Amino acid sequence: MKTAEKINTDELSYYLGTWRNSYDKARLIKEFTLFEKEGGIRMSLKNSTESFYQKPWPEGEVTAHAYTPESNDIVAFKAHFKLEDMEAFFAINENKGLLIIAGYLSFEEADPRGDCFVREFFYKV
Amino acid sequence: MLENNLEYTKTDDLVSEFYHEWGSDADELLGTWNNVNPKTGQIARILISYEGDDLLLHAYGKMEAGEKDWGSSLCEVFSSNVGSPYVEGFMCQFDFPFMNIRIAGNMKYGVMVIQSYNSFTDGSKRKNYFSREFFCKTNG
Repeated sequence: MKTAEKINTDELSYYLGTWRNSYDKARLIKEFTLFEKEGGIRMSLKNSTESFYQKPWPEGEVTAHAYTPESNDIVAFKAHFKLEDMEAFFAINENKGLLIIAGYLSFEEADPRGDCFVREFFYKV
Repeated sequence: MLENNLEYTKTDDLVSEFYHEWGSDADELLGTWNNVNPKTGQIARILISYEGDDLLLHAYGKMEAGEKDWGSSLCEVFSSNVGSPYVEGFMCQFDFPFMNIRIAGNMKYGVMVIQSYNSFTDGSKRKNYFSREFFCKTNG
């Protein structure tokens, strides 16, 4: 959403809170929390035990997206994280109570690690 | 690969040494699975348990107020291939005087995916319908 005024606050409240990965051997994220801060939406997250990335994440900026340009019914989010050694873009969509994160992870040019993709499933705690 | 003169309809009906093992131990299915969709009008929750060697699925339908107890149904379990000991999916059926509900379930990354095929037998002309919803062990 371009402005906070366009967000359906009833719908947003459903998304706010903690979402836990359904898979106990998650590749990246154990759980994440969506919350409001300074008029915007933010995301914090915890790495899973078996995650290939174990450094702490800063808060990420989250943007809500509606199903159509005319509606304000939130169905998806995008989030961006700039870490010391990695940049992450998350495309997050809702499907019947699950939030599904498609994560695109990019490392610095000089980093031997290759850019990679994850897709994980979360339920509301 | 072919140890006996088994009949088959396709290659995967026969044991292959090249299968990659995946799926779930049946024990991972056990317990209470809650529909993660708070607005569902389908199955609210599922309990899976053993009775002897039988795997039973107990379902509760979401009602406008509360739940309807469907009772238990015996599950037929399926692996991802003919040589796998792991459970990849299951099927069961609930028969009511006015409708039949066939359930096909599978596991994906800790999510139980439940497809239901709903057929009416009461002459009400309600269309048979299909649904697909997601369940998690949300208390875990």
